[in-house]
Amino acid sequence: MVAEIIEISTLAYNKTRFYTIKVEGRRSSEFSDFNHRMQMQQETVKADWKSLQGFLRLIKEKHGAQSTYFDNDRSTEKLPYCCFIEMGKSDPHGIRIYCLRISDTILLVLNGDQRTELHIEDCPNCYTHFEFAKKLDGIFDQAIREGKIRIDVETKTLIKREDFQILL
Amino acid sequence: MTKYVANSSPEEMPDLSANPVDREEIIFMDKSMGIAHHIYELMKDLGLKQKDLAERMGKSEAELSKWLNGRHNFTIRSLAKLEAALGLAVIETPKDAFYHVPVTLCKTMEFDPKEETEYEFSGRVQPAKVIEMAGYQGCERQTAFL
Repeated sequence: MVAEIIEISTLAYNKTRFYTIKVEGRRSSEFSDFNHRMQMQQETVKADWKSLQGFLRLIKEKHGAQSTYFDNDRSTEKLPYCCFIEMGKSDPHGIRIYCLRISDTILLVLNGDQRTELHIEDCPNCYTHFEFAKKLDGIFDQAIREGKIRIDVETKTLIKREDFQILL
Repeated sequence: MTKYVANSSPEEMPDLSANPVDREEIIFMDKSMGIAHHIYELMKDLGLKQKDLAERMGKSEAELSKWLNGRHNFTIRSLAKLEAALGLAVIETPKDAFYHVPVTLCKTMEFDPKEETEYEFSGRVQPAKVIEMAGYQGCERQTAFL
């Protein structure tokens, strides 16, 4: 499966550029799918999702993607870029969205769901999104090490070598 | 090298501004993020890692990490705990600033007492507007600031 990185144009650059991933053959991108599903949830989850949107807006417009705003647990703490934001306390846990934080100015927002279990390995909602983020983390780590993906320091954009493809 | 471009079909992407979040919630998160970032910067200035500060506070690193994730509801007590551990002020009230400013000024600047002048200060002291300089003699009298 090939996946492409797309800049989220409705979240225009201010402090941080937002990107997401669209897997070939899927109707929508990861972030779009997340938002679409959260909109359909019951009110308590929806309230957490709205707060998460506000949080992302503050990252984009004012504070930047500082590492301190992202959570890690034993599943993500050893991965170079993968992290998550967990918002609220919808019964029994909040909603979680996985991200790849490349720098303070470059953030890939991926997918997530309401966490239902203490450990992510046991959560049927979030585990697949974690696995996806973990896989991408490995791909990005290697591509950045090999110079296939870089940050243009002037424009603070993500750039890639012509022949680079994300193969999942 | 080529640039990753903005999504060609933006209508698929959510427009966050189209979903209004409660103003109080935004203010809450903005303040919490600002305080967290400030603490993070103070830690950097002091050469402290999160683990070091957690130890000083008698807390676990995971617990401190939650305090600094931009969603924590700080209390005066928790801020006092942080300030005590850092040995520095994390937030200041206007009264704190009032007493700081004249001391800074009298060491570094000269004034024209006839003019209403604005001075920008670096560091944690906020921009201050000098509204009255009459009777100003060194640091012996307080000067009024807005």
